[in-house]
Amino acid sequence: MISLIIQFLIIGMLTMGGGLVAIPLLYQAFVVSGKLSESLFYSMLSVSESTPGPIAINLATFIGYESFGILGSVLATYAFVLPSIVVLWTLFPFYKKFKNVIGVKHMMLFLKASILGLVLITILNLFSSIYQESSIFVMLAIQLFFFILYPMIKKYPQALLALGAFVGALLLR
Amino acid sequence: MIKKLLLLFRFFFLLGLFTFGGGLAMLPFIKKQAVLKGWVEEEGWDGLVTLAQLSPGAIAVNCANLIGYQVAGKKGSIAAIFGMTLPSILVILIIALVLNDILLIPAIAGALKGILIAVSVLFVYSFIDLSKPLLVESWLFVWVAVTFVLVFLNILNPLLMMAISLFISIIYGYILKGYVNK
Repeated sequence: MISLIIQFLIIGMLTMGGGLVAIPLLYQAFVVSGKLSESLFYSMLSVSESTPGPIAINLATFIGYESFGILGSVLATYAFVLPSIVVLWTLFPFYKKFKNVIGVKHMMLFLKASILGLVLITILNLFSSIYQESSIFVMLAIQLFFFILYPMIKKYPQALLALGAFVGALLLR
Repeated sequence: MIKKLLLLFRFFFLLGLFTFGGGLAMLPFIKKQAVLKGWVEEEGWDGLVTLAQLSPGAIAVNCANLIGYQVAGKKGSIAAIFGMTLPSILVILIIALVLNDILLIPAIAGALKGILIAVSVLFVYSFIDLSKPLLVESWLFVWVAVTFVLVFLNILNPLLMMAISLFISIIYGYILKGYVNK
């Protein structure tokens, strides 16, 4: 259980630039290492995306529960949050200075590049998992349809998730 | 004091319970409400969000943290964070308890697969959005490629990759900032 806490502390510290980054980090820590099956991880991701609250928090709670039950879920979630609390409490007195610093946005360029690389890997892993299904052509058709549809409903990503659930329940059972 | 803490907790609890779609989707609503309640001055907001985005962790939780701190110091920040995260824990726990059973229902398993397809599409569009700021400095796509190859071929753990990039970013930022100041 201590190693679970340490893992979430490290992942919480290095999830920079939004919760999306937590997904490849959690995938590496729990799926690549064999603690969770890929299909269970992706079921968790589907649930986390379509329930309220930040996705990274939802995933942390889920993985914590799978590892050590209710206690695990609470510990994992707050271990994930703790580094950000410490960093922000330290930086808070200076926040008004952050407003007009041009350097701040430039500062994170390499980090943004790495985030992009990791998101690309996440997408590839996700695609290869989706295409492993037996009904690959149905999956491809749905995916193509969603690709064309999404720019039209960009303000409501939840609508796409709801549609995904509906179409999936009908066609992918 | 206790009243303030309860107000913070209630606001972020409801926010966590009723907002879908992650942190960025919540920001405009948080801003409007926080300014309305007098928790944050309108001029201070941009600095607050910049800090929330630069810091590790989920952006919505970071905003809760900063607003709570602004209103009632460390206690306020804990009340806000607890409010923000508690709905996630409750909802996910309820689902986690029954997940293995409901996955046996074909319609539910199918629905989760369908959601995953939608998620894959959302990620591709997120990728496009995230790459836009880098187009200004297109040489950075070399670093995107470096990250991709090193992590994809399992040469480097993604955690280590993030740490290295953070380190280079900070050093590069200092050099650039020094440059601008001249």
